[in-house]
Amino acid sequence: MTAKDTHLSAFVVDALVSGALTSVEQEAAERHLEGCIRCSDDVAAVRALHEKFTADVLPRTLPTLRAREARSRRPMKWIGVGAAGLAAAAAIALVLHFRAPPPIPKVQDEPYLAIKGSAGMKIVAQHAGTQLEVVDGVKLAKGDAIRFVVDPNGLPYLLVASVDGDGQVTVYFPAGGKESGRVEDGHKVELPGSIVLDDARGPERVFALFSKEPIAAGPVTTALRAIGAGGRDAILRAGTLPVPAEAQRSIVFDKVSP
Amino acid sequence: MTPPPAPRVVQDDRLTELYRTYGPVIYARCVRLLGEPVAAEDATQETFLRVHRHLATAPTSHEALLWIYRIATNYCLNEVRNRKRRPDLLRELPELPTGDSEDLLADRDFAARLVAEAPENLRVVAWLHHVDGMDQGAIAELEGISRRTVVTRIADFAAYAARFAKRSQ
Repeated sequence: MTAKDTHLSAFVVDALVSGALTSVEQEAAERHLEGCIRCSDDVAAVRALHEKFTADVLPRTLPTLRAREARSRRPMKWIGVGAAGLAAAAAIALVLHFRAPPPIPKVQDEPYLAIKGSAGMKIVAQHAGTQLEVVDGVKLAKGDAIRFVVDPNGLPYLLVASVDGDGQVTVYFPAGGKESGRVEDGHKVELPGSIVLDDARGPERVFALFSKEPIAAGPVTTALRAIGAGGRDAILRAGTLPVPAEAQRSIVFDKVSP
Repeated sequence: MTPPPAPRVVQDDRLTELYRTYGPVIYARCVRLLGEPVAAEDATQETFLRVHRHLATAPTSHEALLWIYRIATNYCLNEVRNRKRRPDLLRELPELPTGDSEDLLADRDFAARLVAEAPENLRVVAWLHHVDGMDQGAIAELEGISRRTVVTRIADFAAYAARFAKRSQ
């Protein structure tokens, strides 16, 4: 029998100290602690860290945290899609919809967007009434809307495409295009339109391919279909595509039931 | 077109409330992952800024804890890799624990040091299993991957540990 079978996991210890266990789970954990010195020590250590944070770390770091959060916050500029439009689109959409392109707005300062010395992409989602940055593994649901913000870093052509858990391949930018489209240079270029997620479940990996010359969409969609044929794990593991892009970025999110 | 509703923004007092509520568990998690209180303070802020919108809408404290683990574990293990906060980890080992690779990895401290040197695709799962003591189902739920993938990665890490042990003997 290994230690994993006989001791409380770190997650359970953290949940216990944080009061996140159910009463049944808490009773079981406390019964274990009565006879286990190692886990009792773990719980005591975590409690001590909680106390140190509250008494010392929090008052020292809160002002900095507030300032950083304020810098990263910006007014919502949900482009091209009103609330009613979102709801209607979510109700009828079986595939992802790319909205008619409105004027391209500039995103205001967001320090965390910049990827110094390299092209970059960020996905912003409207989820459960909140705007959030999509990082790998984020769970999104039917009806959520996403949009793209890129930093071309001097590379004038961009192609954005994705593959989802059903093997569906979509070219988002240029919408349904046959090759890369031009993007203006800048640190935070917001691509036109937003996308309302359909009810397909599973992972979806989005690639942004930055290049000096246009890239044909054909090889890209072929490579994406090959990834999609490998199923969920292949999508989660996928790294770069075998296409002549000077820079590639990808983000994977998970579409789940609302 | 009717303008969209104003976004619900986490206000300062709400931010403070969330930081007071979840900061301790994030900090404790980061200390455990990084092994340094000062580095953990930075990592706590970074993790909190990435996760606080999820915490604000998490339906349960269990769900909030999942988010914290998901973000903090990835962030801190990347920090270990990028900044070499724990250099010479393997050289610090006084001697290898005896026995097979399973015995080897039952030593949490040894497993933690070995994870820091492991291939990138194995690190998070290996840490969660061997250092945090989480079972396969819990790891699959936390990471949003299949249980089969978890099993495969744990097996791959065990093979990596066995190769390491063989080289070191």
